[in-house]
Amino acid sequence: MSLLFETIVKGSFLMDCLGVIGLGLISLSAVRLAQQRGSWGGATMAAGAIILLTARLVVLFRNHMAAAGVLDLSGDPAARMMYVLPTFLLTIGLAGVVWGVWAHERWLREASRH
Amino acid sequence: MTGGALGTLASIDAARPVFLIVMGISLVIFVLRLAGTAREWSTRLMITGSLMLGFGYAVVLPAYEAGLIESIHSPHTTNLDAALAWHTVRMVLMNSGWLVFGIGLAMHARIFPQTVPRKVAAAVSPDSPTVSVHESVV
Repeated sequence: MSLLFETIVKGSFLMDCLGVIGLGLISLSAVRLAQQRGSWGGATMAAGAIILLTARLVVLFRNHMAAAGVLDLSGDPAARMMYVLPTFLLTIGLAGVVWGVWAHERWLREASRH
Repeated sequence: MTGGALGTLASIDAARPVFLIVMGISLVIFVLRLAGTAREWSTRLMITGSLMLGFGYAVVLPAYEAGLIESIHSPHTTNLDAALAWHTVRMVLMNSGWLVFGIGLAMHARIFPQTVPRKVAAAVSPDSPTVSVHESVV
Protein backbone atom coordinates (compact mmCIF):
# COMPACT_ATOMS: atom_id res chain seq x y z
CA MET A 1 0.00 0.00 0.00
CA SER A 2 1.55 3.24 -1.04
CA LEU A 3 1.77 6.23 1.24
CA LEU A 4 -0.97 8.10 -0.56
CA PHE A 5 -3.44 5.26 -0.17
CA GLU A 6 -2.49 4.84 3.44
CA THR A 7 -3.12 8.51 4.11
CA ILE A 8 -6.48 8.45 2.39
CA VAL A 9 -7.85 5.14 3.61
CA LYS A 10 -6.53 4.88 7.14
CA GLY A 11 -6.67 8.59 7.76
CA SER A 12 -10.10 8.95 6.22
CA PHE A 13 -10.62 11.38 9.06
CA LEU A 14 -9.04 14.01 6.78
CA MET A 15 -11.50 13.47 3.95
CA ASP A 16 -14.38 13.24 6.39
CA CYS A 17 -13.34 16.60 7.75
CA LEU A 18 -13.57 18.12 4.28
CA GLY A 19 -17.05 16.68 3.85
CA VAL A 20 -18.20 17.88 7.25
CA ILE A 21 -16.86 21.39 6.59
CA GLY A 22 -18.68 21.42 3.26
CA LEU A 23 -21.95 20.28 4.80
CA GLY A 24 -21.58 22.86 7.55
CA LEU A 25 -21.02 25.58 4.97
CA ILE A 26 -24.09 24.39 3.08
CA SER A 27 -26.32 24.49 6.13
CA LEU A 28 -24.94 27.87 7.20
CA SER A 29 -25.45 29.46 3.79
CA ALA A 30 -28.84 27.82 3.36
CA VAL A 31 -30.01 29.32 6.64
CA ARG A 32 -28.59 32.66 5.47
CA LEU A 33 -30.50 32.38 2.19
CA ALA A 34 -33.71 31.53 4.00
CA GLN A 35 -33.26 34.48 6.35
CA GLN A 36 -32.17 37.09 3.83
CA ARG A 37 -34.57 36.48 1.01
CA GLY A 38 -37.31 34.45 2.58
CA SER A 39 -36.89 31.52 0.22
CA TRP A 40 -38.19 28.34 1.83
CA GLY A 41 -35.86 26.30 -0.34
CA GLY A 42 -33.05 27.46 1.91
CA ALA A 43 -34.74 25.96 4.95
CA THR A 44 -35.21 22.62 3.20
CA MET A 45 -31.58 22.66 2.07
CA ALA A 46 -30.41 23.39 5.61
CA ALA A 47 -32.52 20.57 6.99
CA GLY A 48 -31.10 18.19 4.40
CA ALA A 49 -27.51 19.17 5.18
CA ILE A 50 -28.11 18.78 8.92
CA ILE A 51 -29.64 15.33 8.36
CA LEU A 52 -26.57 14.33 6.32
CA LEU A 53 -24.32 15.55 9.16
CA THR A 54 -26.38 13.55 11.65
CA ALA A 55 -25.94 10.42 9.53
CA ARG A 56 -22.17 10.89 9.61
CA LEU A 57 -22.30 11.32 13.37
CA VAL A 58 -24.33 8.12 13.75
CA VAL A 59 -21.76 6.22 11.67
CA LEU A 60 -18.91 7.53 13.85
CA PHE A 61 -20.82 6.71 17.03
CA ARG A 62 -21.67 3.24 15.73
CA ASN A 63 -18.01 2.38 15.18
CA HIS A 64 -17.22 3.34 18.75
CA MET A 65 -20.15 1.32 20.07
CA ALA A 66 -19.15 -1.69 17.99
CA ALA A 67 -15.61 -1.42 19.35
CA ALA A 68 -17.00 -1.33 22.88
CA GLY A 69 -19.01 -4.45 22.16
CA VAL A 70 -22.40 -2.88 22.73
CA LEU A 71 -23.73 -3.87 19.31
CA ASP A 72 -22.97 -7.58 19.66
CA LEU A 73 -26.56 -8.52 20.40
CA SER A 74 -27.87 -9.50 16.98
CA GLY A 75 -31.58 -9.04 16.62
CA ASP A 76 -31.66 -6.26 19.15
CA PRO A 77 -33.85 -3.49 17.65
CA ALA A 78 -31.50 -0.76 18.88
CA ALA A 79 -28.46 -2.45 17.32
CA ARG A 80 -30.38 -3.01 14.10
CA MET A 81 -31.46 0.62 14.16
CA MET A 82 -27.85 1.79 14.32
CA TYR A 83 -27.16 0.01 11.04
CA VAL A 84 -30.33 1.01 9.24
CA LEU A 85 -30.60 4.61 10.41
CA PRO A 86 -27.56 6.08 8.57
CA THR A 87 -28.73 4.73 5.21
CA PHE A 88 -32.19 6.13 5.82
CA LEU A 89 -30.80 9.51 6.95
CA LEU A 90 -28.39 9.71 4.00
CA THR A 91 -31.26 9.10 1.57
CA ILE A 92 -33.59 11.63 3.20
CA GLY A 93 -30.81 14.24 3.56
CA LEU A 94 -29.80 14.02 -0.08
CA ALA A 95 -33.44 14.41 -1.08
CA GLY A 96 -33.70 17.46 1.18
CA VAL A 97 -30.66 19.17 -0.32
CA VAL A 98 -31.76 18.50 -3.91
CA TRP A 99 -35.32 19.65 -3.18
CA GLY A 100 -33.94 22.80 -1.57
CA VAL A 101 -31.73 23.58 -4.56
CA TRP A 102 -34.73 23.11 -6.86
CA ALA A 103 -36.97 25.33 -4.75
CA HIS A 104 -34.32 28.02 -4.48
CA GLU A 105 -33.68 27.94 -8.22
CA ARG A 106 -37.38 28.30 -8.95
CA TRP A 107 -37.66 31.07 -6.37
CA LEU A 108 -34.76 32.98 -7.99
CA ARG A 109 -36.41 32.63 -11.39
CA GLU A 110 -39.72 33.94 -10.04
CA ALA A 111 -37.95 36.83 -8.31
CA SER A 112 -36.06 37.85 -11.44
CA ARG A 113 -39.24 37.77 -13.51
CA HIS A 114 -41.01 40.36 -11.34
CA MET B 1 -40.94 -2.61 15.47
CA THR B 2 -39.85 0.71 14.04
CA GLY B 3 -36.42 -0.71 13.29
CA GLY B 4 -38.01 -3.54 11.37
CA ALA B 5 -40.20 -1.25 9.30
CA LEU B 6 -37.32 1.11 8.57
CA GLY B 7 -35.12 -1.83 7.71
CA THR B 8 -37.61 -3.07 5.17
CA LEU B 9 -37.88 0.40 3.67
CA ALA B 10 -34.17 1.05 3.45
CA SER B 11 -33.22 -2.40 2.24
CA ILE B 12 -35.23 -2.34 -0.95
CA ASP B 13 -32.29 -3.25 -3.10
CA ALA B 14 -33.50 -1.87 -6.38
CA ALA B 15 -35.08 1.35 -5.14
CA ARG B 16 -32.12 3.03 -3.45
CA PRO B 17 -29.66 3.03 -6.39
CA VAL B 18 -32.38 4.32 -8.71
CA PHE B 19 -33.20 7.04 -6.19
CA LEU B 20 -29.51 7.95 -5.93
CA ILE B 21 -29.14 8.13 -9.72
CA VAL B 22 -32.22 10.35 -10.03
CA MET B 23 -31.05 12.62 -7.19
CA GLY B 24 -27.49 12.93 -8.55
CA ILE B 25 -28.63 13.84 -12.03
CA SER B 26 -31.30 16.25 -10.85
CA LEU B 27 -28.81 17.98 -8.53
CA VAL B 28 -26.55 18.66 -11.54
CA ILE B 29 -29.50 19.86 -13.64
CA PHE B 30 -30.86 22.20 -10.94
CA VAL B 31 -27.45 23.71 -10.27
CA LEU B 32 -26.88 24.24 -13.99
CA ARG B 33 -30.25 26.00 -14.23
CA LEU B 34 -29.39 28.04 -11.15
CA ALA B 35 -26.07 28.96 -12.73
CA GLY B 36 -27.77 30.11 -15.90
CA THR B 37 -28.62 33.38 -14.22
CA ALA B 38 -25.08 34.48 -13.37
CA ARG B 39 -21.46 33.99 -14.40
CA GLU B 40 -19.44 34.22 -11.23
CA TRP B 41 -16.94 32.20 -9.27
CA SER B 42 -19.65 31.03 -6.90
CA THR B 43 -21.59 29.41 -9.73
CA ARG B 44 -18.44 27.84 -11.17
CA LEU B 45 -17.63 26.30 -7.80
CA MET B 46 -21.22 25.11 -7.41
CA ILE B 47 -21.17 23.51 -10.86
CA THR B 48 -17.86 21.76 -10.12
CA GLY B 49 -19.10 20.48 -6.77
CA SER B 50 -22.42 19.31 -8.14
CA LEU B 51 -20.70 17.51 -11.03
CA MET B 52 -18.46 15.67 -8.57
CA LEU B 53 -21.43 14.81 -6.36
CA GLY B 54 -23.54 13.86 -9.36
CA PHE B 55 -20.86 11.47 -10.61
CA GLY B 56 -20.45 10.05 -7.13
CA TYR B 57 -24.16 9.55 -6.51
CA ALA B 58 -25.20 8.55 -10.03
CA VAL B 59 -22.28 6.29 -11.01
CA VAL B 60 -20.01 5.24 -8.14
CA LEU B 61 -22.50 4.47 -5.37
CA PRO B 62 -24.93 2.50 -7.60
CA ALA B 63 -21.94 0.57 -8.94
CA TYR B 64 -21.10 -0.37 -5.35
CA GLU B 65 -24.67 -1.45 -4.72
CA ALA B 66 -24.78 -3.44 -7.94
CA GLY B 67 -21.63 -5.27 -6.96
CA LEU B 68 -19.60 -3.98 -9.90
CA ILE B 69 -17.04 -2.57 -7.46
CA GLU B 70 -15.80 -4.59 -4.52
CA SER B 71 -15.80 -2.95 -1.12
CA ILE B 72 -12.57 -2.99 0.88
CA HIS B 73 -14.56 -3.96 3.96
CA SER B 74 -15.92 -7.13 2.37
CA PRO B 75 -13.95 -10.29 3.26
CA HIS B 76 -14.45 -11.73 -0.23
CA THR B 77 -12.53 -9.01 -2.01
CA THR B 78 -10.22 -10.54 -4.58
CA ASN B 79 -8.62 -7.49 -6.18
CA LEU B 80 -7.56 -5.32 -3.28
CA ASP B 81 -5.79 -2.70 -5.41
CA ALA B 82 -8.85 -1.96 -7.49
CA ALA B 83 -11.03 -1.90 -4.39
CA LEU B 84 -8.63 0.55 -2.75
CA ALA B 85 -8.52 2.77 -5.81
CA TRP B 86 -12.32 2.90 -6.03
CA HIS B 87 -12.56 3.57 -2.31
CA THR B 88 -10.17 6.50 -2.79
CA VAL B 89 -12.19 7.79 -5.73
CA ARG B 90 -15.38 7.55 -3.69
CA MET B 91 -13.96 9.30 -0.63
CA VAL B 92 -12.42 12.12 -2.68
CA LEU B 93 -15.50 12.60 -4.86
CA MET B 94 -18.10 12.63 -2.10
CA ASN B 95 -16.20 14.67 0.46
CA SER B 96 -14.55 17.27 -1.74
CA GLY B 97 -17.72 17.45 -3.79
CA TRP B 98 -19.64 18.56 -0.71
CA LEU B 99 -16.81 20.92 0.23
CA VAL B 100 -16.65 22.63 -3.18
CA PHE B 101 -20.44 22.78 -3.44
CA GLY B 102 -20.62 24.21 0.06
CA ILE B 103 -18.05 26.91 -0.67
CA GLY B 104 -19.88 27.82 -3.87
CA LEU B 105 -23.21 28.02 -2.06
CA ALA B 106 -21.66 30.08 0.73
CA MET B 107 -20.30 32.55 -1.81
CA HIS B 108 -23.71 32.58 -3.50
CA ALA B 109 -25.34 33.39 -0.15
CA ARG B 110 -22.69 36.10 0.47
CA ILE B 111 -21.45 34.62 3.72
CA PHE B 112 -17.89 35.67 3.06
CA PRO B 113 -17.16 39.40 3.08
CA GLN B 114 -16.95 40.46 -0.53
CA THR B 115 -14.39 42.80 -1.99
CA VAL B 116 -15.62 45.59 -4.19
CA PRO B 117 -15.62 44.58 -7.87
CA ARG B 118 -13.03 46.38 -9.97
CA LYS B 119 -15.55 48.04 -12.25
CA VAL B 120 -17.37 49.62 -9.34
CA ALA B 121 -14.12 50.70 -7.76
CA ALA B 122 -13.03 52.34 -11.02
CA ALA B 123 -16.38 54.06 -11.48
CA VAL B 124 -16.24 55.49 -7.99
CA SER B 125 -12.77 56.95 -8.20
CA PRO B 126 -10.99 58.10 -5.03
CA ASP B 127 -10.84 61.73 -6.17
CA SER B 128 -14.58 61.88 -6.67
CA PRO B 129 -15.83 64.76 -4.52
CA THR B 130 -18.99 63.12 -3.22
CA VAL B 131 -18.00 59.57 -2.40
CA SER B 132 -14.93 58.84 -0.32
CA VAL B 133 -12.86 55.68 -0.61
CA HIS B 134 -14.11 54.52 2.73
CA GLU B 135 -17.72 54.63 1.64
CA SER B 136 -17.03 52.81 -1.60
CA VAL B 137 -15.50 49.97 0.35
CA VAL B 138 -18.52 49.75 2.59
